[in-house]
Amino acid sequence: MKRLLALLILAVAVFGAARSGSAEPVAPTRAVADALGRDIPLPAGGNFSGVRWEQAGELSREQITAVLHYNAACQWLRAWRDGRAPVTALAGLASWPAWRGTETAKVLAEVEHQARTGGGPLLEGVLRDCDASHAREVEYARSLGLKPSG
Amino acid sequence: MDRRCVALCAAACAVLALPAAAPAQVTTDLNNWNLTETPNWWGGGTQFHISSSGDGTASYRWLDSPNKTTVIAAHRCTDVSLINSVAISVNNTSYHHLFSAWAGVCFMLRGRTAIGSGSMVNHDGRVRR
Repeated sequence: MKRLLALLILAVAVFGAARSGSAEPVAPTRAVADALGRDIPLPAGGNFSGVRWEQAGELSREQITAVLHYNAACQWLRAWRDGRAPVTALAGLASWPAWRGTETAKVLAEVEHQARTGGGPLLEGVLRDCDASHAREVEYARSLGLKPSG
Repeated sequence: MDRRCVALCAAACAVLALPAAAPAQVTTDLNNWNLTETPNWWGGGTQFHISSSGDGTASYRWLDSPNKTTVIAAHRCTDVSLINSVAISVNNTSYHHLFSAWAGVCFMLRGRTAIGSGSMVNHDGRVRR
């Protein structure tokens, strides 16, 4: 019964988010994020359990998607750097719809270029940010009793 | 010393006397940001990045003189965690340092008015990084 109730709450949250349009904030965010993140490709062992949705307040559906995608991009970059994914895995990151026409698209395009051509300061900076984030995510996921990302 | 040598020396001195090129900070204007006592995200969560051409800092200022004390916070795009927040007093339009990092670091801005002060509507701000 409890499981049915939880499923019902999740369905209402996701359905509500889908109906609410781009600017409308949605809650509960982790449940919505879990649903939205299901279709985002991740390297082996990846997940979004360490994102601090509980501290984020209200977020729009689009923002949740953008955060999930940026987090996924970080996971792919770390996987490539650590030899768990080929450089070709970075090829589509900059063109993900979550940041079409945005500053993030330009940054990730340059990051991918630097990854293919022997490195550069932007790649180094973004990876450093991703590493720091991963350390925080592992800690936060564990504090919630969730499995951290790899 | 012939004239050519004098001219060359003068040119060299002029170049040496020039100040070093200042880092080119990137700015973006945030038009008509409506703030209440409940924090809200600029642009529904617009992502900004520390520029490669700047000095590695992120700062925020109001362009319109604010009529309320406001709190502006920078959060990371990766996990939504808080980086830092600053309180900006009434009528203050100076830049406020949010954080220092390195090129590429992604962040989002969140703002609110001081508790008990009500809302502040249609004020323009600027983020520099």
